[in-house]
Amino acid sequence: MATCEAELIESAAHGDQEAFRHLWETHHAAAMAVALRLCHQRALAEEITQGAFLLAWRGLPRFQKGSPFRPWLMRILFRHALDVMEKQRTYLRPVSLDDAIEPDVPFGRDIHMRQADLQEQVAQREEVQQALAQLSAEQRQVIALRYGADLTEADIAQVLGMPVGTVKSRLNRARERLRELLKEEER
Amino acid sequence: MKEQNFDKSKQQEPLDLEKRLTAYYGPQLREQPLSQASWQNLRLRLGSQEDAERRHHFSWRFLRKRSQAHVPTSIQDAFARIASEAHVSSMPSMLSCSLKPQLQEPAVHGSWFGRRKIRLILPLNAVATMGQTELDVLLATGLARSICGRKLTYTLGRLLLASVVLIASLVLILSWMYHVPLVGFPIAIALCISVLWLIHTQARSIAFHADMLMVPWLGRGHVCSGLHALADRSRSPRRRRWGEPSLAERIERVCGTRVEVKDNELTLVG
Repeated sequence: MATCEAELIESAAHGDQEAFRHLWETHHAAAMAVALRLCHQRALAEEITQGAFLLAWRGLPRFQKGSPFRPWLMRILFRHALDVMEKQRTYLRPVSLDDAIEPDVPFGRDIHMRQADLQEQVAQREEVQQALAQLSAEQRQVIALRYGADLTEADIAQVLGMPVGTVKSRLNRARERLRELLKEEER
Repeated sequence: MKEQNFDKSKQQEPLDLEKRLTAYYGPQLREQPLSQASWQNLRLRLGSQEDAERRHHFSWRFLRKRSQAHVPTSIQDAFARIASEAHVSSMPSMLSCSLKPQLQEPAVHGSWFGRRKIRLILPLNAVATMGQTELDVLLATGLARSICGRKLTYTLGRLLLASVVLIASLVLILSWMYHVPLVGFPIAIALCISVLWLIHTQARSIAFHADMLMVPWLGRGHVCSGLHALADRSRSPRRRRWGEPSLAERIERVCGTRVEVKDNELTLVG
């Protein structure tokens, strides 16, 4: 499998679109799940996934042979997702009911109950989103990678290309600020 | 007791924030497969690895317009479909899209020189409200105008007009040199006005010609409903602009129907 993937990467790096299609088929669904969890909007997540693969295609000639493809792709995806979300100011968009529906959870029998849950969920998301919108872009990025992508501080440092200490301090400051903001909202 | 409660709530605080952030992002999702169209769309944007290398090596890539890189995928899809109907090889870089909040109605421009380029300018609200037929008609209009504008007759016409401008400038210089500006100025101005009028006429002719060209690509019904939808969106579908026929004129030519004025509102007939 690994050899096969290495061959596909090698071919794709030389411009073989068919080989790249195989890589897309293997990895796009996982990438889409990660993007969707980060941005909560299906259309935007698809755009991010496609954009990340496009960047990966352009970067393949410089891909380090022998290293695993998915972590490399995911690093590209995280960076691209953060860029796109900041550019499109997704934090300023209102949370819609559709966005709150998790794609994995099918509609249950008690639709009214579910509707009430969803509305509650939307309200809570709205509060957190408003607080996130008041953070700096750098703080939002570390929060998104920590909680939206479940990355460790070391992983975040690798994605953002900064020392672990900086990530830690940024995370702490972001958490403190969020705590203040959410407290203010509760009052 | 109170103090104990206070300590307890303080201890729970960080836990609450963690919980809220975890709830905000939700649990890890299972894989989300995309449709085949998604791959097709990506494939259209791939280009060759040589292009990618070139992009990597030349730093001037950052000077490229941002709007070119952010054409929404739905618009790119529609453009690729229309280009294939028109038997024109399409590259994503052919299309650029910009959003202008102050714009009232969408516009499209097709280049007549150099690389084929279609520039779509949309009002901010149009992105959410625009239907597929409107988008198709706009994109097909841009592509068709770009094709028609490059036809030999039109190119020769433009060369002729350029030479008239040259002559007008020459007349102006000579009249200045020989101290007869009263003769030279009116001639030069008359020549320039005629050139402007001829450019306007040529642009209109290209626009009408392009409308006829896109009918077989999209089908007359589709073109008509797209034009009608654009006229519905427009505040003044009868207004002509320089080098641009009005929507009412285009509808009349393509669909054979008219736009009538009723109770101060423009209602489309047909």
